[in-house]
Amino acid sequence: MDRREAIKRTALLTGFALSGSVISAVLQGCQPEAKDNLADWMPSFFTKEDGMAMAEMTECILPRTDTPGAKDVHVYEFVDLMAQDCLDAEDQQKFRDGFTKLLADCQQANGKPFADCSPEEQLAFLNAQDKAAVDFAEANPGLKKEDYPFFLTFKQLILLGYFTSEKIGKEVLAYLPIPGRYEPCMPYEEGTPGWAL
Amino acid sequence: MYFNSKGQEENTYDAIVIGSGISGGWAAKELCEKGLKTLVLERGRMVKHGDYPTAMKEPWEFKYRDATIPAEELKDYEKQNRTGYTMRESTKHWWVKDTEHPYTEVKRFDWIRGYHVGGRSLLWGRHSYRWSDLDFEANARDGFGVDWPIRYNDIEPWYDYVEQFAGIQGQAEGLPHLPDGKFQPPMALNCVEEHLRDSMKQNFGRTLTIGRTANLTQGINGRGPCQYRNRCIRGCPYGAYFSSNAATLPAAELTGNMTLRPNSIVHSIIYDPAKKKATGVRVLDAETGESLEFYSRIIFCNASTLGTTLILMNSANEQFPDGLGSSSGQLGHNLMDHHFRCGARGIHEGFADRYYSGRRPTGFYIVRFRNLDKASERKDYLRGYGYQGAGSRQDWTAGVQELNVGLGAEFKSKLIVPGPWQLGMNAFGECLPYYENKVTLNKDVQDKFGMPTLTIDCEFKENEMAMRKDAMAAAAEMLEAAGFKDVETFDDNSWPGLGIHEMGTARMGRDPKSSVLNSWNQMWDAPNVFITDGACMTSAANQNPSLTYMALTARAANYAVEEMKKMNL
Repeated sequence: MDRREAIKRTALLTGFALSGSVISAVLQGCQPEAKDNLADWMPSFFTKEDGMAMAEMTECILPRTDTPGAKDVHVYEFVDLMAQDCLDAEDQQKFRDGFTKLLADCQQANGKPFADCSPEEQLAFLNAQDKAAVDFAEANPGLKKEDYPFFLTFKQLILLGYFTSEKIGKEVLAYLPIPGRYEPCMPYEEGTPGWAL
Repeated sequence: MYFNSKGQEENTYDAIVIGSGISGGWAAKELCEKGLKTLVLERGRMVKHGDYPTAMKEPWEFKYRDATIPAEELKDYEKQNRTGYTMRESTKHWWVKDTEHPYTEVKRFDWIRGYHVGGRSLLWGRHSYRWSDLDFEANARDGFGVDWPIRYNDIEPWYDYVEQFAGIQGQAEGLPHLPDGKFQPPMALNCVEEHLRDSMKQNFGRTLTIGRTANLTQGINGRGPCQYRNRCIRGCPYGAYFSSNAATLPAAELTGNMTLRPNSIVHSIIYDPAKKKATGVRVLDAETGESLEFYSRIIFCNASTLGTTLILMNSANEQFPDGLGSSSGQLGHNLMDHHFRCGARGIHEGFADRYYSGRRPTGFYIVRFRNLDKASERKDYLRGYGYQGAGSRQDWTAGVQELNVGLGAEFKSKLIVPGPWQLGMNAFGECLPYYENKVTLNKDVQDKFGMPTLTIDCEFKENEMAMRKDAMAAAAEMLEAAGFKDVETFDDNSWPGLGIHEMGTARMGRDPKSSVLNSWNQMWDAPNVFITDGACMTSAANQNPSLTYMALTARAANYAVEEMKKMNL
């Protein structure tokens, strides 16, 4: 048996039914009122209009619930900064093209720009994009960097920006800067946050 | 090049040590403690213990969250960046700029270097395993390379000696082919690792143990115990892992016999044909551009495997036109590294009510189980491999591709809590000593100081490739037997150099016709020159090599001083 063929990194948790409260939290997350100081923000890599759409996407993916949302910790600024400084010219072009196509795909799917879509439409659209990208990556293991789907690169930056932010690291995740000792196997209560570091 | 030397007397020492990395630090300590006035030459900048600017920084204190560095800066580090973990904001200051220190690749070779006091002893993976006669007899057994001129009993007391000073935590297992050391109390395996250990023992009779590393679990010599932050590569303010900076150089300093001279690039070794000995070294001052000469009775060359070989080749003279130590024709040949980055990983659905606290700076080690004896003999390849790995619970990074709950609130809440246990193991395999894997001096390409550079021509071959296939299959088999799910093998490709265990370009041997060094790491062509870095290695084994460099260095230093006392040097 060729294990590389036979063994696929399958989803760990499947068929999770969203409860009513979760759905309302999702919808709330995509509402425009969670704006923070976004109106004054001047992106470097993105145009203002694209930057605003990108910021809304980060919040759809990681919405404010009883814990902060992506916009609360300015993930949009991080995504913009990384694209501006840490991608070389070629990768910047690919990233720009990927984002432009994302907006165009939304226009095509919903007949209107992402910003004008309802929260339900926004989330459904991003989920479809996500699924297509994950399916592609799963079907093509060992992808070269240049073939890696744009949406996963984008999502990775959003997760990185969120989970390595000071607020999430110190106040949401469990933060222990100098553990001093190693406990290899301690009791864990379900629902308790994981370690920040 | 004209060397404008100062007065001979003020530039004369009992010993010169070239390089301050893991073996140079040991040479400095041993020679100074035995009373020799010792000059330690380091090509890079000064780094004092504690001079670790990023050691206490959290991810959010870095502009790019320590994920990478700006694309513009990265252009200087094209080769250093190949590891995937070196070029980050927390560590970028430790690595050389490839634009300033070029080399030429006939085939891909990743030469990963840090030029500063302490060298890569600040940056190493710290795994420390003894070799055994399975390793020292390997070349003689299958005919690849030449026979090692030493056996385990020659080096055993020196392993004892260096382990107790360096501080190696580990668990005794009583295995003849991975001898136990003088260990500090071991760090613990977590529950999923213990589960795999027990399953492997029961199903296969194989041994999984805690990765034996140079991390202190008990303070010694003013160095503190590990604080479980797992940020060793940034430099440890507690001195809790072994480095030249934290351990050997302070010991050498304490004797009052050491002169440490950073920014001192050794150009070549000076050889006196009348005395048939080396008399000193030529040095370029990296800051002033000044050329200097220093003299000594003995020289320890510890500039790293390829750095040492470059210096020797650049020391060519009438007697030795291909470089000092080249009379056997072996200088620059038999380059080795470990191949790695293949293995298997899986998910374990159990232990959901268990977690861990603290960030352990080691993982587990699976001891070699192939080609030990008739029963474990393989038809498809020679020698063997071990695995390094770790078990952990998944974190938010699983959200990129693995966690499949749709985006949004549920997605976020799942990423905040630990996911299921995962475990991976990565094989480190022996590379045979091939004569044709080699480096040569390249005078057409010069570094920023006008020094010639190296051309590297090295590759892994069929034996290594066959071993990788077996290592992947065997890893998956052990995981499945232990009840892991979604087991998948991986081969992320391995290029020589990437293991940062380069070895073998000035090998030890029994015969001056086929080796560069004798059984005391003493150069056949110039008996007052000792080479105890990775260049001396006659074979590669599958264990991480640094502990063996430490032991060989202490042993050679002791021998050198005895010979000086007998007036033989």
